[in-house]
Amino acid sequence: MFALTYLRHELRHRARQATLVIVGLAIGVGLVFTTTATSTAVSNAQSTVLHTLDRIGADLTVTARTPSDGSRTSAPAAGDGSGTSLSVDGGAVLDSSAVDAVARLAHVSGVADSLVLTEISPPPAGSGAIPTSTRIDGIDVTRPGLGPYAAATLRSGRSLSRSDAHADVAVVDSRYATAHHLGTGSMVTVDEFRLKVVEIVDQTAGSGAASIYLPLAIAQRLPAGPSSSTLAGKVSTIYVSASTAADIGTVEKELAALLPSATLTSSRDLADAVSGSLDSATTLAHELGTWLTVGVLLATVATAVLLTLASVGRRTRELGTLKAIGWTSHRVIAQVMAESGAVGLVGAALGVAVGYAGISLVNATAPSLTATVDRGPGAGGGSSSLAVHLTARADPSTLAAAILLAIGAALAAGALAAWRTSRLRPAHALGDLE
Amino acid sequence: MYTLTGISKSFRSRGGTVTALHDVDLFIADGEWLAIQGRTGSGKSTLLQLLGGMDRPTTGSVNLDGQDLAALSERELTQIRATRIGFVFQTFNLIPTLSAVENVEAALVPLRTPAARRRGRATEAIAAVGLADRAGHLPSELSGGQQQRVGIARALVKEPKVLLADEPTGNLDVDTRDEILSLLDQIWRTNGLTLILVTHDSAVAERAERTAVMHDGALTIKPTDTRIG
Repeated sequence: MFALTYLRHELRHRARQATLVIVGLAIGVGLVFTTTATSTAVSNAQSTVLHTLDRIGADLTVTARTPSDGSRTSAPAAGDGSGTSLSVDGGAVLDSSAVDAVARLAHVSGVADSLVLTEISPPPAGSGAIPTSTRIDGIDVTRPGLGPYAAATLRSGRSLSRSDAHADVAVVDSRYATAHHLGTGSMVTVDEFRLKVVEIVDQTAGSGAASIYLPLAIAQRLPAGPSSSTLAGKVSTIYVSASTAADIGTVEKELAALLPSATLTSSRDLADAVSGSLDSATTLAHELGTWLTVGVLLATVATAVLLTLASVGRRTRELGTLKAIGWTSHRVIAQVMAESGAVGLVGAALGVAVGYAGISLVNATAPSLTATVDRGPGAGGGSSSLAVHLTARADPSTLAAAILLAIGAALAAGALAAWRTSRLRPAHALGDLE
Repeated sequence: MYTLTGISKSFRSRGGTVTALHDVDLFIADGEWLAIQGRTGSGKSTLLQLLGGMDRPTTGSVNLDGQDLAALSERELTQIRATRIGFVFQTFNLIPTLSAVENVEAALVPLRTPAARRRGRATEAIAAVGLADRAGHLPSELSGGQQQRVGIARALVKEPKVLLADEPTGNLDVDTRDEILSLLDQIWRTNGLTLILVTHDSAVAERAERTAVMHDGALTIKPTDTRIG
């Protein structure tokens, strides 16, 4: 086919200019490819972190607001006389009736409640060690599916069920079980209660997970209230899921009206509370990445357009000659567009290679990032940190977009050149008019 | 056969309207060799463009075998240029990235000639102008005279009825000029086509059957047959 022969010769003989456009496109595509993949990786890492830290199936978390006078719901544990104390995580509780009220809200699809306690155990006398704390979560087994326990993975034993609502049973985190030599069937003591371990679970560190889960009714009998009173009819946290993502805002407003003294924490709040190097990377990826991508895109298109127009400008006589010897405008334009398209294809292919190289470089050199989530009073207080390894991957949509970008930029350049070509008259073959 | 009646051509320029051709009447018979002579800026190239269907007159008609080129669509003019008119340019106008034979092939592309036949005809045309051994060379590897021969081969490969040559020897030395003129003469005699040649050179114009002289956009036909035989 003559057009292909012509195309091949043109690209070969104008190799320097074609190479310049190809390299420009390749760098542009490669940068966009790498930036997008990195930005996606950062976003994915943040999602993973949020999921890991508090992705417990709930859209909103309701907790009692800590009393402003500093009085906390805690007391020394009775019974063993060892100095161990129990306190409500966050220091405040809600009445269980609030859970039913929340469940009745129109846009709420799921509710779960729990009573999270912290057991502080003093170190052995004279050891010089610091006191140890154990997070104990009394979960409502009649409302499964939300909360840290729902996010845990069964390692051994059996899961808690509704029939365990008043049973002296416990679920133990695998790390805690290892440290305390516990297994399914072992007995674990919480205050004066001896509970049978029925399940060992794996949980991600920093997920707000407890070391010991026990039925809510058992937790409410523990002496963790003021003056060692029990917490009958009390919960510390209510996990709420909205019917749809669009309903979250509505539910948030309804909850604020229903429980004005409670603290609400949404996934968005959690995302806002993420700090550390991951947060910095996210900001960098979103802000610098976006501007870098836009800048490179514009530069790429502009370079391709200018060089292609310059090329057509130099070929005025040549293209005019083709028209003079009977080539139609369409054929001449198709030839110019085909040259641009071919340059775009090569630029895209090279750009993808550059992009893969860039992604490999990011994966090889990216430092380990840390994410710190300030859980705030609404999520039980304190903060959780996680180390995150950034893994950039090329997804097919990014790949397709990058290829389309290169070809699109080249064709945009070709279209402008073609427009200029279409205005050429065959008389241009003769040079200046007399 | 060409019949030009009342042709005028004006261009707009910064300084106002420039009239390149003024009320030109001309008849060119089939198989005639006509030289159009004139100084630079006299309007001879403009006249050639009108004859070649590359431009339209401001007024008047350019009739080629019963068709008024001024009234045809761009598509129809393109078709006429592709099939019936061959062009030879002063600066050769070869595609610099294509070989000699590929340059000749380019003229057959609009005719949708199959690739093998196209290459065959192009090779024959290259051989006919004495460049069989240079068929694969790029224009930059050829001398001026050789490039013009390729240009002539390109014009002739589609077997046109009319050959329009714009200062075909303008960029050549005297010896090469004579070679090219001899080649054109031979082609004109052999192929029986109409040859219209624009030149400012009297020595070139003298080779034609008839000479028309352009002066300030007006055309005068020389009264005597100056053809040298």
